Amino acid sequence: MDTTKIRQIITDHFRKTLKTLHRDGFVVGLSGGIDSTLTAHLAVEAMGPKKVLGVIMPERESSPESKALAMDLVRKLGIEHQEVDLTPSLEALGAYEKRDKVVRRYLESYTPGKHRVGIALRQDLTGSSMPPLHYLTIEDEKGVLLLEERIRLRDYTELVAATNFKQRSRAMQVYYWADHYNYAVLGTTNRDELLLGFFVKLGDGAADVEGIEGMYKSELYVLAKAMGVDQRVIDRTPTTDTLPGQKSQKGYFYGLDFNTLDTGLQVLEGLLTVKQGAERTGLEEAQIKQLVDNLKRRNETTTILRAPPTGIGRAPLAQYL
Amino acid sequence: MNESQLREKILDVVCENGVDRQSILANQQLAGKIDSLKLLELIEVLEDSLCRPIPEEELTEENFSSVPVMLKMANRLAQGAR
Repeated sequence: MDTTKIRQIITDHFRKTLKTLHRDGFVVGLSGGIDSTLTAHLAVEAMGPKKVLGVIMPERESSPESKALAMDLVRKLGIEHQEVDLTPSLEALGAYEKRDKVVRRYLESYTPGKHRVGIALRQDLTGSSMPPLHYLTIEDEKGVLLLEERIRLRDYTELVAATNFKQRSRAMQVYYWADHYNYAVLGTTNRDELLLGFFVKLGDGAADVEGIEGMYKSELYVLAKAMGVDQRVIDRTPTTDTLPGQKSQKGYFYGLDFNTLDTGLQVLEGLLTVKQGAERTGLEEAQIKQLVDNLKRRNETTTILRAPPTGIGRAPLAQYL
Repeated sequence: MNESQLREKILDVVCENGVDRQSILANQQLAGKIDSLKLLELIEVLEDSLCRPIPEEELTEENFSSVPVMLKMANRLAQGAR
């Protein structure tokens, strides 16, 4: 992988697009994860530290490590930052309360702060066409599993709607600061997330400029290493920081290691053949085919997340008469 | 709910979001045609008809592979047979 060339393509894109958008710099929400950290590195390489603002948005359930790593990044890159505690906004929106109401249908004694709630998926992406089954999990403060129960459809959608307040509140803040400084918002969506719909529309999916959406997750690690990203960020288990009991993206959404997942996505996108996919992963060709079928279905069912608002067209209505 | 009503209900759920009813009726196969939310909905339709939860071990690819197989499972569970 030619990391020098990739850096050049992305930083050129940042510089060029900023001019087109008539904005003076970039805002990026910093989560302490590899996607936002790498994006901030690229933004600084493109524009210099004075034209990049980092926004750190902890809330009462986010990992303290997220904030600490984001603060270290701000210091390392020498960029300005704003810290906004999202807890009061999320409380005002009823985000915690709405979620907890759902969880109490499964465990009446559920106590936020004491118990940690998460969603686990059961699926076999390489061995079965069965879509994933969603289970609500609740752990106590020691990490002991108290409950793992298949979640009902309406409870699941209600829970997702409530937790999506977090990503959308983050988006509101980065856009506030973007408007405040006449900056553009840099997105941090990577290719896995883009293709599989692992982002919240108008939440972490909201951005003016994207940098890494052409890169698979496993490629990000290579680029991060080449750019001198903090090793703690590289080693950190990816998390969305949305549900306190959510251990990792792998557990929640992907169900596979990133090398296998990315290989499947590359086959899906026609960059590799099934045979090459099998050779790269050590899986049987039938397993790769099954994986690709499952990824394709997931890509199709998340179309709404990637689609712009669907109108009749952008031209005056008269043209369609 | 009798078998015919359950069958129609299953087809309604499966075909709600653009899946072609005729193609499902033609070969009945569901592999690749339902997503995770549809699966949850189908399970609930079956559980409502049975008036009890479907055991976890029955939630297999095979049991949800086609409409007739799903109906067969529902019948079997309704009769308490395994």
